[in-house]
Amino acid sequence: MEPASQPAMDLEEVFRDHHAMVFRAAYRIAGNAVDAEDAMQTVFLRMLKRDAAAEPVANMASFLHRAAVNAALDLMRARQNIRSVPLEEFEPVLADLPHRQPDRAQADGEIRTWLRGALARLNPRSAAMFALKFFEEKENPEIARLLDTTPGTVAVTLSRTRDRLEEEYRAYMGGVA
Amino acid sequence: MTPEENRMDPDLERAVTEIREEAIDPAVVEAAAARVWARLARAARESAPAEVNGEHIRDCAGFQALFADYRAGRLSEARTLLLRDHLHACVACRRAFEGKVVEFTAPPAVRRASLLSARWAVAAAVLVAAGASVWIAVDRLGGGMTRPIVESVNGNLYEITDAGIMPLTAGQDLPDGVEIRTAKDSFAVLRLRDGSRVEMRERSDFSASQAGRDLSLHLGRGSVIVEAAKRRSGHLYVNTADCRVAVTGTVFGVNAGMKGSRISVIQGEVHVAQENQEKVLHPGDQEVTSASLEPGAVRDDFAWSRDRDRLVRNLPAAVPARISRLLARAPASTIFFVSIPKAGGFLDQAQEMLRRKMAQNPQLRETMAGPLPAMDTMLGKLRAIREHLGDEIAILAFRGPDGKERGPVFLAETAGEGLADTLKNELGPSVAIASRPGLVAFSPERGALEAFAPVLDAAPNAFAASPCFKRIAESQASGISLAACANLDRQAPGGMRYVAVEQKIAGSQSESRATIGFDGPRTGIAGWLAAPAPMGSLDYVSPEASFVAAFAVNDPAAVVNDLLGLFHSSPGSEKALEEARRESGENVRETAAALGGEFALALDGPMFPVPSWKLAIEVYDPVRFQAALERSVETFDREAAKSGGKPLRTSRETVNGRVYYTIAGGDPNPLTEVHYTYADGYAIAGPSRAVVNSALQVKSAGNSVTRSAKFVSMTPRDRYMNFSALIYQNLGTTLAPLAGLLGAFGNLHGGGMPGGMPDLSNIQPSFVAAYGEPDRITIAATGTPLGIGPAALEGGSLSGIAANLPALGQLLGTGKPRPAFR
Repeated sequence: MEPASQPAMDLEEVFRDHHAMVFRAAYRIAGNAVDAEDAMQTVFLRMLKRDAAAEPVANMASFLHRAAVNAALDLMRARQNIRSVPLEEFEPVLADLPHRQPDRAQADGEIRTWLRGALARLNPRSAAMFALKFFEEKENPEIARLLDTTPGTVAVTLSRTRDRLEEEYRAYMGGVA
Repeated sequence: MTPEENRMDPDLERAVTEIREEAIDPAVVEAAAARVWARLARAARESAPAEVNGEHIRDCAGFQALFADYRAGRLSEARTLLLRDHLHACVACRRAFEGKVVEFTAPPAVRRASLLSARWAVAAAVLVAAGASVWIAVDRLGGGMTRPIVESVNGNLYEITDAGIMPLTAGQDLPDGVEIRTAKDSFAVLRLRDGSRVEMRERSDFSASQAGRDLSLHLGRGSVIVEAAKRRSGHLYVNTADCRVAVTGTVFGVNAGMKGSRISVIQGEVHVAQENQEKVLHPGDQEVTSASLEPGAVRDDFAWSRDRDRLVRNLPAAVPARISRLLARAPASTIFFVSIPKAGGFLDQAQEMLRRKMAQNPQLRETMAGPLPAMDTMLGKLRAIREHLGDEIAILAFRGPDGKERGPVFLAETAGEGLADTLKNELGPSVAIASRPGLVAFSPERGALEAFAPVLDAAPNAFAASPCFKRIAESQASGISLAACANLDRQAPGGMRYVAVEQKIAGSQSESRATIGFDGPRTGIAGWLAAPAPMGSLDYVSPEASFVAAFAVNDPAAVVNDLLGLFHSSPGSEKALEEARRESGENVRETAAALGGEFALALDGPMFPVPSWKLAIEVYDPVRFQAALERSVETFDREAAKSGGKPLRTSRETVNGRVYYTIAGGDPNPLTEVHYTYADGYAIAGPSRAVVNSALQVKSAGNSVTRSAKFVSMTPRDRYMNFSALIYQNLGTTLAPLAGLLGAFGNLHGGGMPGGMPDLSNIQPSFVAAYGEPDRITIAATGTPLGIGPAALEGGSLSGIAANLPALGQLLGTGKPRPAFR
């Protein structure tokens, strides 16, 4: 990295052009401004530390989109301090008992909170795919490019992730969902 | 269709859609971006390449060398940032940091230095160390420092900690980052060690932190006046929720309110950054950060200071507001005055607006009832000759030399020649007309015009001593508005002196405003309302809230005293009250004394199955407050036992260091549960712990209703930073499902909403704000207020509403005429 008295000009431009998108993408995962700000800081700090000799980013918006989703998911995982569960080893991870009461869970806000927590408990790659697909509305080929895999894998993973979330949601609702 | 495109469970589908479409206030995004960019800039400046004690951080060992300083809090913010990021990414270092043994590759062998080289190295090290010491002494102690010292406190100053709030006294040293808050009616002066002086107004929230050579003051809410010391390096920053002020060696004031921030400068140069834009302010300049904030006089922002005379002595005198030519012609005995601007369509709407205002306001209706029919007819005709009229038309009534009421008299500025002739042709010979250069007076009552004519040639501003005159002048100075003011009889209830109403176009929305002026300081019920103040209680309400009511009172104990007096005044109530006091075993006044004076009630979440209400109350003494609640519960249980009832269910549970309390009815029923906790000087209550936690999360995320674009867009545009009371409703979305249900029910019975109910699905958001000033209360409304309450408020009939309360006369005060506002 080149010595600098301030972030390089290109970073400034990148920051100016994309900070809002990064913040919003992180916010959708984290659900609060404090964590979204932390994620945004993480994303751009990594850009700052990025090796000058590294391969240039072809599509900065997509790259930062993925970075924001990943940073926010990392943060959520760190906050929850729980292990990631591979899809193959799936067992529903139940939230706190007071939140499982069906009447309370009806509240949309609580379902959103639950969904965010459930994403943080997913395998990071599956969670990133889910967020990119359903929160950020990316198409499968773009998700595949961003995560260095094939569109078919993305489709299958998303399907299994959705099934798992539904199963976990039913468990969360005590079988009433 | 690919497998993942199958629809999900509807609940999950809806949650995903809601997350995707969640509105985030751009101000929150930009404020976060500004902070992150500042940290990135520092990180780039201080660690490119990263160094440890002059050495570059080349590997994990380099980061591990920072652990001790990091744990001790000695690491700079930029270095902290780098280390945290590395710990996040590097499992080995994270394990090492957590105390687990990790082996690192051995550092490269150090080249053996010659004895001569070693001596030079020692000498160089001594020189560097000496130089560094001098630099630190000069830069850190002489020019830059961090901790504020409480120089003086008038009233109460609190430190806000996780454990609660603790009073501070003069002379105390405040650790970096600690949050402090002045109580109501309190004032504090802080001295920073670099010599800067900070005055804190009542109800202000403040913290300070040092990053490198820069010192940042964080103004959560309220007002500060900063006399910044000159620095050799670094800056003093004042951050509010929506802007950042950078200074060195200046005197300036910063106000952080619910509507935004206002910065006023007395001395030096101040840089204000907001949303990636920077403005430079000089002495006498002022900047506001919100479209709903009108600039005010710079000296007004320093009026609360104990040192105001010294601070503002070099400011130029305030330029008096321009008084309209027609207002200046009003006689001293004016009973009512209506100002109608020609622009903005007010002339077309004047008849309807005046009728509506009078329908809503009994005082105005009573005062203007006589001349109203004539006014109506004349206004209709004036519309036809608008091109001959100047910018303003005034209608007034006054008492003639014989003490009789005279009017209406119309006054109009002329646009070109020939208005008098046009009026004769248009209005007929029955209308008396008197003209002067650029001015025409006319009236359907010849006697009224004859009594008025001498005023046209007399010295202007005879009416200027009247508060009614001042109110109209203020209204005209704030923009194009239709304004009407009625001087009330001296025997008006509660010492009311005048009623003024105003209709204004602000941006794309219409605003109504009403003012009740008193003949001296407010007393009784009118005296309960505090001056406009920041309300931290709203920090716990989310932007999705569908209904919010919040208010600040001067003295909760006084309110309780007045209410107890009210009970005493009811026949037979004294005995019952005394008995209730004995039975309850608590002193209501003492309970009220534990309160701060701010209250917020919100409907913030689903209505069903249990309405998600939230209550946030400012509590200065949580221990005393809690003790009073517990005594009340004990007494209730005792009484319930006597009558065979069930005791209340209570619980107290500590989760993650926070104590949660529950009080619930004897029988399990979620509707009777109250869950609450204490945080940051507030008691936060709700129907479930989830709602209480959600309130705490809203506060910690800094994403409250007051930061939402919808809320801010609904606030009336004026010079006030804050409110004394407010009602905000956005019930349309919440009630839409209920409306659908009721609509379907109504259709079964012939269509429409049942029982003559309003169409709930079509409720538009509205906002009603009240501002308490020493001798008046102003109520402003935007949107379409719902129901009779806000509509009545909009019309300015506060006294009409209050008149329906029992014992109003007693509560409004003595009603004796008193000297005008002192």
